[in-house]
Amino acid sequence: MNSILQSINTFSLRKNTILNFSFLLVLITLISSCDETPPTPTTPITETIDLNFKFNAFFEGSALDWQKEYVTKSNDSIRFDKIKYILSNFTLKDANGNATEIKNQYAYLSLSDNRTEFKLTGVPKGNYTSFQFNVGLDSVINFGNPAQYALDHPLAPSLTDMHWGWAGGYIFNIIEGYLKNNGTTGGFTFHVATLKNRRTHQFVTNLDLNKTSKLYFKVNADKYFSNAVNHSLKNDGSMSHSGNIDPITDNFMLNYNGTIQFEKYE
Amino acid sequence: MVLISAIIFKSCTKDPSITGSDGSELTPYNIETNANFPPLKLPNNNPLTEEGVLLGRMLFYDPILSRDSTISCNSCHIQSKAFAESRAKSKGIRGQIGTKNSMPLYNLMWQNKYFWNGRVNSLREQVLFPIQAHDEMDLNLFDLAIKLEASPRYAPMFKKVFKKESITPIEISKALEQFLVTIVSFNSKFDQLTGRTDTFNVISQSALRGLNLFMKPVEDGGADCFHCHSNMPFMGNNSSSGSMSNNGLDVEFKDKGFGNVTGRPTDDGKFKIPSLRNVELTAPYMHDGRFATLEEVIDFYSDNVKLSSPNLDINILAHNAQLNLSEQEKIDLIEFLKTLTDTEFINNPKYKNPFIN
Repeated sequence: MNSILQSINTFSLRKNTILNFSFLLVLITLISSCDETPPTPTTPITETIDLNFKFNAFFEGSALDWQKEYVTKSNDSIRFDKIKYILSNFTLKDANGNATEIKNQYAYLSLSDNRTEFKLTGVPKGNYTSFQFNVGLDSVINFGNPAQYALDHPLAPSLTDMHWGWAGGYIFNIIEGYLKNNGTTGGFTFHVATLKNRRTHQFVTNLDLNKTSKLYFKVNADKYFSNAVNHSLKNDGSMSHSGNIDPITDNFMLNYNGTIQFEKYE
Repeated sequence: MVLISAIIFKSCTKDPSITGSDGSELTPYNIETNANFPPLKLPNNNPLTEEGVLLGRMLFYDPILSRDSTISCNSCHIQSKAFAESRAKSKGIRGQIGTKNSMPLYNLMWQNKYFWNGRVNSLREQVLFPIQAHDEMDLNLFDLAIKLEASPRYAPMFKKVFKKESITPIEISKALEQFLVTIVSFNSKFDQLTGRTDTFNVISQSALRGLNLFMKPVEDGGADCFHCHSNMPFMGNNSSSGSMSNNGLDVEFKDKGFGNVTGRPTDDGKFKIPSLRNVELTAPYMHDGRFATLEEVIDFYSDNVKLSSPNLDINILAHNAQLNLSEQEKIDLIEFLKTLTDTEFINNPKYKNPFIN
């Protein structure tokens, strides 16, 4: 590499033009990109951990059985088939209110497929008093080109089956299942999407991330239909795709708080 | 300056050359797609080379792969039909009729399940099944390896590509895999809409209305095709979790499909959701080729879905009624589906029979 640089230097001096300085700059940039020596750090290194997340589905306090028929408070007989999420904007806050966002990391959960865990990397160690994440994505990511993601990325449509294509953005949360009605079996589908339905879930709890590496959450599937309001699938609607004017989704979203509950850490 | 810079930049990347068994260099094979496609999902431990792809292509078109040397892969997978065929069910050696309609072949590298019943999870594994199936090519893989080792045409090619003296089923599957993953379709009229504001110059008004129907849910007056077929840019569902579905063809299943694979009654009647790219060319339709035309398919989804079919896809079950599309809506949907035809793909010389000039 030294001989290359000497040659470049000689060449530059001989010609001594702006063009060649530009050329030198490009070459040095390219050559330095070949250099495998890491740059000398100029800022203190913050110790980080991998923070693991685990989600378990429940119905009225008991572990959700995907084969079991449940009766909601509105007397709907249902069986869950899919509960899926896309999560983003993971943020920790300390006692002074300082927020640390774990940027550019996303999670895809498909509880029915037993994809119930993920981990965030590079999470700064420390003591925190709350954390939060969004079910959903910001506008830039939501309407970005999904083809940019490797096939195992949480936002890869081929992994999640949660992208609507054709500029439709992502589905943030899918709740699907079967609904018994007068002896026949129908279905219910709630596909939560669009920015107005993105929801932040905040959890206030002391977290010592010098010791803790795994957080557990409960997904209270019953609360989707009985929480702030009772959502009757037969009367209030059993199918929604988050349209611009969509009273079914609006009613469904009233129950969103508390559907995901922090359980414990270890 | 640009040239020198480019050379230096290239020196930062891995040496692209691949060395064959005889010391000769193999030429890396490049696959082209468009910006809407995800990153290439290339095979593990099987780098694509011009030589390897050609070997796989020759095998694909060569009846040496069948017991009596009467049929090749190409017998049921024809380029002008998007590598599907016009028979409802495949025809094997000795005139045997199979049980399924041949699936089209393209964009295979991005798929997670293969065959209508999703019984195989890798392309490398998939390619060996039809060779061995008694009602298809009916050839033992080790007998095939012996035939190929004795072939003055193939033995040196295998040796050069795979750096081995002997041929095993592994090299056969890798060669076929190399060719098959290169078959990509990405340049239909629909693809050409990307970034265009003058859509009417690319596809017709009827097709645009069809696109609108395709992408809208039922409650908004749409035909709700997108739930199963909008995984862009594939127009199917190749996700690892959702690619198998019961679309309501039958109330009782002669063929349980994915249920035969998993043994779970809740998977009975589920079959692979196919890509709709080139669907204009792949008639007849469904796993058993029961519908001869696109019109019959649209009639089925509009008016004849068996709503009491066990394990019916929830997105159909949720609206629990026939679509009852108008005649114009049916026409519009078909017009849209025809915009998914990729004529460049079906005429691409890279995929043609190498034994025919």
